[in-house]
Amino acid sequence: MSDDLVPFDFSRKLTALQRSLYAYILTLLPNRTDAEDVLQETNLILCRKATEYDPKGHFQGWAFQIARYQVMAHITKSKRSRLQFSTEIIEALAAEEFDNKRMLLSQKALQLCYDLLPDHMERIARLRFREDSQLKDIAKKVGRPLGSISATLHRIRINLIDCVRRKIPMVEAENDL
Amino acid sequence: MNANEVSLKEVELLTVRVLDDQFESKDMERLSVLLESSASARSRYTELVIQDSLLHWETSEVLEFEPSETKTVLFPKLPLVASFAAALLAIFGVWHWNKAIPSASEELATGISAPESDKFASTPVLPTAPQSTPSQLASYKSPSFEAGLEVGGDGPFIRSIEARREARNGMAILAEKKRFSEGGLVEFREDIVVWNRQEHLSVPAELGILPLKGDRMIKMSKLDIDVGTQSAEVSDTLRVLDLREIIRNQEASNVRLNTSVFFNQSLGIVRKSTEFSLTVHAIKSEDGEPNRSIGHLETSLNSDLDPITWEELNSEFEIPKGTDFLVVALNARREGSNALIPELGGLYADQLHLGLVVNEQDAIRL
Repeated sequence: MSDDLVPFDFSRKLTALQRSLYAYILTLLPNRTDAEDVLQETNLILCRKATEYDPKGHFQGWAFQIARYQVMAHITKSKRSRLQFSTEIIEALAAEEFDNKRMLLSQKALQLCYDLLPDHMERIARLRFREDSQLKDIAKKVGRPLGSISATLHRIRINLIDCVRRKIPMVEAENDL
Repeated sequence: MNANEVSLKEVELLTVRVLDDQFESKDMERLSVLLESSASARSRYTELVIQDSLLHWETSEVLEFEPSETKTVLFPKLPLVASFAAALLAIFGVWHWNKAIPSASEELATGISAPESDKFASTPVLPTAPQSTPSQLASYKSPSFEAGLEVGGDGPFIRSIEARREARNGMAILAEKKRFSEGGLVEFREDIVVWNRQEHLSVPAELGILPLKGDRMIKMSKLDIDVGTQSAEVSDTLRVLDLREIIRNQEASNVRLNTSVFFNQSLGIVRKSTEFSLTVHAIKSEDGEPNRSIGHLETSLNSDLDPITWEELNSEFEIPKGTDFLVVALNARREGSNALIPELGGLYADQLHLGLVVNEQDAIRL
């Protein structure tokens, strides 16, 4: 194994990109366990290739390209998974513009919007997104049918997206100040 | 609603089913058809998935899932962080084992009062990672408010939701005068009632570590890793002391808590020192108000790498007037790229002794 140190600038960029990289992988492979596996593989490869990276190059583009290859390799290895898109759809999704700046703004707006959730929605959101509970476990905990929990989570997501869209201009303006 | 809106609604519905693992094969097929046919469908799908990734990715910088009056700092989900950490481990593990630890190249601030603190050698697997600057730590420095407990200052206890929850739990048990509860023991020492979690955390000899005395020692919880700040830390609430009776009965004008504890760590993947600390928070409790810290002390040391030796940490804490409860927590922290590597060894404490000195006369051993 090479004794070369990974340049600090590289590791800083890679660390800062983790959230976006994970989000990108998840759009291509919408299963969190698979996406985490691919993220790990991608990080390994990126670290190994650190000395090949041109600091003047576009780090995100390069990292996303490697991630896409890893997604394809993962799909090839696990052909029996029911949670996979075709190669054509993955290429189409991968071609979607991934605006990192907008994602960071969305993140800040999401924090504001999350705080605005009504209590009954916040409880379910916390169980699902923070505690990673399965829907059937949430249904048991809150004493509601599974279908009701599923519908509520749907509404939560749509409400948050609509709220984030409204808040982004304000967050962006604050950033610019 | 036109055809495009209908299909976007359908994309939303199917995407949510996929994200919640409530889908069937035909849902996936239908979603594939919609995504293939329309750029707006792909855009909508991507928007939902990215939002989900943000909701699941807890970071100390942004997303807080506590109620808005609870400004706590969360750590990344370990599986996600561990994937990054595992990558670093795979790349640098062999290099790291083969390298000697160089002489100290970084100093590390070790808290408010750290008589035993020491510079420790850092082994930069990556070129020197910067210490967190005050601006980077800004999100950690604001007081943490939690329903039922307000604490100020900085340190692993402040950032640990679990440790503060245990503290709140202990105070609630003592306030309700319970005689027993899960996760600890209620002990009576003269006028002081103590919620003691030590037994709950104790283990026999393991991983090459022998207890300092007796046959059991405290094992600290696993370090929580924060990729963003390149640090890993943990805080365990060990004792909650109810001082209300003793302060009332003895008309105590001067109360001091002396503490003594020993720390050790087993060999792990990374041969790196750990900063251990003990924190004491003086909590005031008023009816109708959240419990709040009116004073605190943190003392720390950096452990050596020898699993045979235990390092001693002592402190004295002048308890502020008006204190109703004392919360004693043990903490551990690592910084730098090595902190991202999951800890397979253990962090230990033993012989935790607390002594309450009232009016410089009575000493109560707790």
